[in-house]
Amino acid sequence: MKLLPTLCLLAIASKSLASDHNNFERGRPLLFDDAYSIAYGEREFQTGFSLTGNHLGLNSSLGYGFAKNQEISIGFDANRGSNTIGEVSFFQNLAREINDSPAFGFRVTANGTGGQRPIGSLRLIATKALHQYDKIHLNLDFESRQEPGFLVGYSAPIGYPKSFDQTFVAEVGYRQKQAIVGIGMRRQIDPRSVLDFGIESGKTLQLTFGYTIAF
Amino acid sequence: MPFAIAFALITLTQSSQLPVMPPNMPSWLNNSTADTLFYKPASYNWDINRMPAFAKDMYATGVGHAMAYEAMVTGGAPELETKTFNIIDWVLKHQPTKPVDEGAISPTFMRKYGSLEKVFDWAHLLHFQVIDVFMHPGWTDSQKEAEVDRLWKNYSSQPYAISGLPMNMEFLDGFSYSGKFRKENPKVNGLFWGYHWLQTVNHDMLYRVPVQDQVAQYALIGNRYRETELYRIDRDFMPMTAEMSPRFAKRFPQIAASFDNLHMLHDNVNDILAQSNLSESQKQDQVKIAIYRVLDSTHKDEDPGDAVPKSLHDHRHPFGIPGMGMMKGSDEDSMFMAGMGWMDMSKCSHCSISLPDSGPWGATVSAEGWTMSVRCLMCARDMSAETPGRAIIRASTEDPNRLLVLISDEEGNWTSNIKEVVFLENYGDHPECNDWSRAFTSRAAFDKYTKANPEFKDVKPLNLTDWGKLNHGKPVTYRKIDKPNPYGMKMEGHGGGK
Repeated sequence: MKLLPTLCLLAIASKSLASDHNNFERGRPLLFDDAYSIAYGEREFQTGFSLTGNHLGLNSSLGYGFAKNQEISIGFDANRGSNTIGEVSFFQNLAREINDSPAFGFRVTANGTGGQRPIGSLRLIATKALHQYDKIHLNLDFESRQEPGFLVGYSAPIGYPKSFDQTFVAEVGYRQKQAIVGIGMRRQIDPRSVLDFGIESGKTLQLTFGYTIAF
Repeated sequence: MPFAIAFALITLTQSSQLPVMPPNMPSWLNNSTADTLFYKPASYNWDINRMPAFAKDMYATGVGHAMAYEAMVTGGAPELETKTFNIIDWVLKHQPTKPVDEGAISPTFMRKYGSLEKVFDWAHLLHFQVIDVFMHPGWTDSQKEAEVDRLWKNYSSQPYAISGLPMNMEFLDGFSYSGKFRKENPKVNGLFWGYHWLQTVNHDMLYRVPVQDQVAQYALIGNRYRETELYRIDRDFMPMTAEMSPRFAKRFPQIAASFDNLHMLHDNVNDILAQSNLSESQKQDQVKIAIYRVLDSTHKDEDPGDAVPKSLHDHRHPFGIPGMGMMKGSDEDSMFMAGMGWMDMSKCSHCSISLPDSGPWGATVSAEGWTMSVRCLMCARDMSAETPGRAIIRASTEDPNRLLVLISDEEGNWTSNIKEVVFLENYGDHPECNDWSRAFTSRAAFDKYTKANPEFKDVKPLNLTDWGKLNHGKPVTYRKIDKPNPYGMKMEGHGGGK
């Protein structure tokens, strides 16, 4: 599988407190997740564009926190030059960070195009403080018909203590036989919404712009 | 019986020893999951932003709390009054324009006290949503009140809900660790209590006040908050909701009490974290016990007025204030109020005649950081004239759906939210002052009232300017309660003149 479809595939679906700049979900803007689900009762809509060379992709998803620490989401990825991919995903937070113990969560996803056998994937996630404010997010990916991969995400709020609305993100990893490096930013634009921007380098360079709203 | 055991343990260990972990602690206090809850979806959410100055001040309160807590759990306690105070003060003067993620500002505190954050977050969501409802345009007062009732029901449905019962504040503030934080960190504690002042005073600013009339009040209240209330270090006790917003507290006593119980939990946590002789584990246990004390589940099937005096289950309240627990030294008839001294809350603060039990509730006067209930417009005006600085009067009219909001300048000149307002003032005996001193939304309403009450048929209506010039001074019926300050500080009072 080429890098672009993979990146776009991962750009859909939702998780965590996406209305907050300091919570991280795959595709918004990088590939990694943190270990937290969206809030119980929260509904969340995400949409974004990805640009790779002259390939423009559009992805959107709708998530719902149907129980404490659990969310389900549906989404699609329409990427010019390839088929539209649909997805259903379940996320669960298993533990929050307590003292020196990391937070844990997992995501189970089924996705595919019409008429083809769905692809399943499992992501195991751990989030842990690195220093006082920054965190690392370890993701282990197990996908059907693929070798296991991993991502190490990094997040750090920017501007403290004078501003409180943006977070820098970065990641390195190895997935789909590709080394991955990326950086990005999440910025709160109002109480409900976050804009994100990212640059990811695998086999090719990809730019991502996204928007998330909770309601 | 676990309830009785818990009560006995907490009672017996008060004052000299650390409270002991009750045997019936809710299991969720030890949950390892995040359990984050979303606010009730509704069209009014974030309508607080319709008043940007107020919204920014409220958002900044979260930053200050989070920064102080983070400092206290990361070895920054010795610098609270200097470095941390200066940073918080900078933020308070350059407020965020959007709500902040307190967890991102205090990540270490979150890791150590995650259960506490669940309680705080859930209560703060209620706090903000109540404000949003009152600031929502297009709804009637009845619709707003019904929605606030639904918010309370929604809030109470979660295990993290704080009790809406009045609780004995002297008891809750009487443990071996109590008072340490405010004694060692008066400036930061002053900020915290300043936040609580803003968080409690705003409800009467908003409750049953038309949306378009709310902003003008905040020009005064916001200045008072930013220039004075944040920096006060002379308070005897934290501001109480029923003191700051008596009209709101009377209508929503459970919410008022829950806010006070929440703020007392804040104070308990401050004091526990300030204990340098406790281990990390002891602090975490004490915070859990403090949470337990104020949880709704701890007081299941109990009612306002139930009393095991000066205990965890003392739910008495001063007469006429079902939304506030007993304070230090108070009884059913009187309590000590910051800035006012001893007051009987069931009586007019100006003329000492009992407030009516039903019908128009008269008015409230807000000045110098306090808010008091009075029987009539004359008492409101003359009481505000005794007080230096600006004042706000919120008064009933003949129309139960139209609240009169009067705001004075430094010289005592009034502006009104009802341009056609006229006043009846036919000075007589104070016990009937709420009959002969009234406000009307129009001349027609005045005429209707005087026609129905022939004793006033020859009384001329007063416009705002002429009414504002009157002053009958301190009534002969006024009775000052002469008792010492139970907190051991100099008695405060009100007086002077404009």
